[in-house]
Amino acid sequence: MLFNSFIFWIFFLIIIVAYRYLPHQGQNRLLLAGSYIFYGYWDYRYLSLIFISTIIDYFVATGIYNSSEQQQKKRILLISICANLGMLGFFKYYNFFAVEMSELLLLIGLPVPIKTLNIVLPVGISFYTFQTMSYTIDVYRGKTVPTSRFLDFALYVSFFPQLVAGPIERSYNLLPQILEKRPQLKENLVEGIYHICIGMFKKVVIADNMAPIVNSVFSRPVSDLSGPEIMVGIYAFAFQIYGDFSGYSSIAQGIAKLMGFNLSWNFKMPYFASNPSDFWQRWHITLSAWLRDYLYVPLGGNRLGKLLTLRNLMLTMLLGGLWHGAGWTFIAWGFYHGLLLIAYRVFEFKQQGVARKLMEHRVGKGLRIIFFFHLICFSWLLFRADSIDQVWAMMGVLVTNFEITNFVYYASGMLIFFAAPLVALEYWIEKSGDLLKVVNSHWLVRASIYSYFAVMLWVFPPLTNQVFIYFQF
Amino acid sequence: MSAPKVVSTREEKLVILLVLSVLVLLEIAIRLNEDRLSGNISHIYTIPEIARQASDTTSDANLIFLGNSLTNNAIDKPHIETLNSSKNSIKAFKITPDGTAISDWYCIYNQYFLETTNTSSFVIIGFAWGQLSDQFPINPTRLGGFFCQIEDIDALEATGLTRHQQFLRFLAGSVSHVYVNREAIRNRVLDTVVPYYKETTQVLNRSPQNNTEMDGRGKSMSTYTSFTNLNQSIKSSNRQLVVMAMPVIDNYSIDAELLDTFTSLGIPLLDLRNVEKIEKNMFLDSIHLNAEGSRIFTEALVEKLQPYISNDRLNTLN
Repeated sequence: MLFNSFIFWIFFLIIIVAYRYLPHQGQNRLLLAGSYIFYGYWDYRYLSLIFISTIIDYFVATGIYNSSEQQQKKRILLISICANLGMLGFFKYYNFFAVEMSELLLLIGLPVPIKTLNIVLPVGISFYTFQTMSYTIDVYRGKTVPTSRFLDFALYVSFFPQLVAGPIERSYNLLPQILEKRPQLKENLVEGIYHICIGMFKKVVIADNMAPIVNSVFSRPVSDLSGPEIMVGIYAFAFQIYGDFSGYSSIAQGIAKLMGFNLSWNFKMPYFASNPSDFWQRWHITLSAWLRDYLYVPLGGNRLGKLLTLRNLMLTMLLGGLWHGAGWTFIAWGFYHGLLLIAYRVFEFKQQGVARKLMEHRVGKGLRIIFFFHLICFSWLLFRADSIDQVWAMMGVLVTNFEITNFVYYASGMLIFFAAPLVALEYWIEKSGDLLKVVNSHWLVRASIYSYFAVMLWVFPPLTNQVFIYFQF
Repeated sequence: MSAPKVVSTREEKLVILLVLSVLVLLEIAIRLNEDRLSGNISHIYTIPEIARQASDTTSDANLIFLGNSLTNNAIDKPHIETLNSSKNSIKAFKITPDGTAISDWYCIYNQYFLETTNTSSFVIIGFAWGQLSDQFPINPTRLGGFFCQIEDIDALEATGLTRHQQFLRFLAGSVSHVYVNREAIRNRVLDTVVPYYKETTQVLNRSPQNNTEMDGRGKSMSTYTSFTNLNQSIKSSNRQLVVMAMPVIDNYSIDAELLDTFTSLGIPLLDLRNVEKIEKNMFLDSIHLNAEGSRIFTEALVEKLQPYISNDRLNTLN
């Protein structure tokens, strides 16, 4: 079920009406059943994977908690890590590594064909495996006490608002909200409606209207494109992926809020970031935090000296890239972000005196935001391209062909029409320092913004429905 | 970040009321000006009148053309009425809303022609690719808003209209004229504010990735239940169905299953995919004929139709 489909909203209407009349445990059972229906509507066969992950991590967490010996705790934790990463590795990476291994063996004169499998990537597997792994690791670290209530834990794993594309919730945030009675507040309704409205707007109006421009640029032979056409295609993709993913997260946050749950903020105006470190505190925050806590810090973080800190940054970003997909473009994307973080670290160490003052000035900050936005846009070229060859070819055209075609005017016009109002709104929110600025403003301002969203959603949806990009991760 | 302030229920009610008011005002504005949104919508609003004329006219042969823009561009209506070598009087009527296919044509016929009978009428459907198959993509919003009644849904089950998502879109289209006309409104607005909107959109629509007009061609396992139902309706109102395969630049094949369906139902097929004198330069784009192409196509069509519209043929129908 997609959030941008009529069927989802009928499903949710039924859930929310029944939810209001049930006691706490009844609500949890309803949400668990609803979550399995929500996922099974896509493909019921893959429910078994969620169920297996749930059973393993439930018993592993209990085992770790009941074990007194550190070595034994570690051994039990390994079961969870191997099972979750095994499932993820098999469904997501097996074919990629099989093909690459075959080619490598061929290169060294060993023609060993490794069979690839005709398997479909289960929707959301990267998200729920990371979420359940964080639970067992946190129990191992003593940050979370495992629950004995199996069905409530099953809801933590499969909670439908964030099951297939995040936010990746930590057990210490979501699990207590499942276990304890959730207050039904008037504020939840107001905030929930806001998240849903802006999420739908970002997904349906921004992302889906950018899709035909992006598809046109990335599906044409590069020799048919000019540099400005590629540039505008990348800008369009920057807004497509932002609208798509942050839209999903907002809707998830909103529907959870209507049921009394507080999900984590996954995006905080990322295109207003002025440096790589700032960006990762604004973009896909729950994944960045996950990678920081369960990969970067265990690798040593910044505790082992400058050089090893840089190595840890690069390794974390490379694996972050691989998390997004089994392909060299994603690895290159991670590598590039690793380089940005490293460069920022080095540059930050050396920046002093007048240079620092200039950078912190309002104009300097504005320029830094624009400059950094373009660095991020380059990363989107790596992310969206079908192959590294396409990246090289596009980069070549970017610096050699400056023809401004009708398509460039058209795509720029579409970008301004659809994305500029969002940028203006986010600038207003960013400047206020209040992520809930819209909710906290005068009702007439709020009503005007919602009316704009409603009209755009009703009149300007794309001509064909697009699925959420992050479902494939 | 601050937490949301304590809000009053009255304020939120006002917010919801204002948003709903804006949507209702927009709905009223569109309903009042709907026929001015585009030539296509204007044409859709003339369908009842065309249907009435087609049913009332007493010529030797009434040719009711049912199709989409392919048929609209290909049929030269004034010219066809002068091309009657068998000295029968012919009247032609075109019902050709853009982007339509079998499910739309089924509903149009049932809504406007089923209750009337005119034994000298031919219903001539122009099609290309898989436009007669149940698997051809449907536009449920348009079906709900313009062409179909709720009772038509069962007959179109094979097209997927009864699936949840499609059915809900059908309902949304039947309720809101803003929603059903959103494509026309969108085009009007964007054509005004976005440079080269029309030209670029046409190019994008023709690209294989975004092409909906040609979707469904070459699909295996096509079924023709809706087409068979339409033929049944046409027969029950004493009219004769004729189908014509339309010319496009890149030729297409006709599904063997469809050919068998024509044969078993006794439906004449006028294969006009390759009209001799039509050249590539007579197409406005890759699929629509220009005026000259239209004139040549119309002459070729009338020639092929002659055996069916002769007095003898009409007598057999009577």
